[in-house]
Amino acid sequence: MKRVKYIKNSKYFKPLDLIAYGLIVVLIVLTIVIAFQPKGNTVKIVHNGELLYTLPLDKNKTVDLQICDIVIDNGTVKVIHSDCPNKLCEKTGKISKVGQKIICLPNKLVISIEGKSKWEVVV
Amino acid sequence: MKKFLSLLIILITLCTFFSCNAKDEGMIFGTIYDFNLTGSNSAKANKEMLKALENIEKTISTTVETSDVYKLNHAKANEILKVSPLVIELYKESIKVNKLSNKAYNPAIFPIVSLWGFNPNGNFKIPSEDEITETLKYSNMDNFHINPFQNTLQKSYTENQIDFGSIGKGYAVGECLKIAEKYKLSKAVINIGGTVSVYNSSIVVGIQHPRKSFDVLGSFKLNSKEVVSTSGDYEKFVIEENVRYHHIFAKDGKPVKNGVVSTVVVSTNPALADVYSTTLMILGVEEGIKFAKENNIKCLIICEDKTIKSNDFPIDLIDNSYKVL
Repeated sequence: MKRVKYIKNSKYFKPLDLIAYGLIVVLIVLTIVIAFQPKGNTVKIVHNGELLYTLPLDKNKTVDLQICDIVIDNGTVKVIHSDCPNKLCEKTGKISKVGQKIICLPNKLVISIEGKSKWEVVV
Repeated sequence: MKKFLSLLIILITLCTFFSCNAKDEGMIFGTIYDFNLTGSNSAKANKEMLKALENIEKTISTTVETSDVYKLNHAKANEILKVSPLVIELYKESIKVNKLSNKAYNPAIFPIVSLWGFNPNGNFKIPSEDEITETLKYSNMDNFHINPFQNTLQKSYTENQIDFGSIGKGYAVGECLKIAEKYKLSKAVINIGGTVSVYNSSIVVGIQHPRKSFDVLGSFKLNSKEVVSTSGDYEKFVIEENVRYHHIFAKDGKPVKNGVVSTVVVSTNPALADVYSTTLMILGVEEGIKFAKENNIKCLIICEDKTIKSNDFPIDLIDNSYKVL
């Protein structure tokens, strides 16, 4: 009885205050999580609308999908060994700048580079 | 004061969690789309934009058998077809530019596009001169006839086929802008197949380097409700025996070869942005710049010899081996 009265009358613990404090904690946690995201640009590989991989652009790696290989090398990304008919994705060549994309329409594959850059979109 | 702060914090956090930003990407019209919406109605706006895109595709797709355009393309000569107001509108805009550009812009060239295999699901092949000459007979916008009072279209030859693909993308961007305005979004970046616009904000846009896929040629500022579109010989192409064949065709039924590698157009008319970028590419440098000046089109015409002709289009060049004239 006394405790409930204390909470009800306390200057700092009214219900609305508690909600506000809780949300401040959430905001702080979110800020910390975001600060620990990989710095630098990333390669996003989306197949059929589903995000398959998010990889750092600065680590050399070859991703072997059945439908093609994606090579990250020296800060650039390209597609090789694609099983699509007209190989436009291979012909796109290497991309390295934020906003650039390689698209394989028949395979419904979109590879894009994300990160901070001067421009928001590349046309 | 304390109560006010508490409420403010609650509001900010709630906004962060609920529908204050919507990012959506996928495929439509045989290409990619990408929305980045900010505002308290982002989720609703996103949904409505997707619906608008799907409706447009259902109407103008050249491959979906129930679309107006498919039915028209597969109809017999002189068959009268009732089409949706959207098709009538796209047809009227197309005819205007077709006449204005002295037939350089020609959506009725689809039979030629298919002949070379650049149609959806097509396979590239180099046609013979005879095949091209024959197909050109059925690639004239004049072969189509409209009855604007009945909303009907008909064609003179069964082989006539039309494709509103490029004007359709621009039109779709326009519809998305209207939806962004309807929902009073604080910012919206709309990208449909490389035709881009922004609502209620300015953004910096990078221009793809026409010959170095990993590079950006330069950048420029795009203001609210301006639409940018590009056309180029590096987007859909085939190289056979050292010759580049691409998907933008001249009046002779062959891929345009006039020293222009790409064009960039900025317009406040969404449907026309795309149409103009294709038109300028077909017209070439001199005719193109003349056309742009006569019609007040802000554009860049980028040439094989690394020169860029500009009409009212300031660009921040990154690759300085290119010169703006």
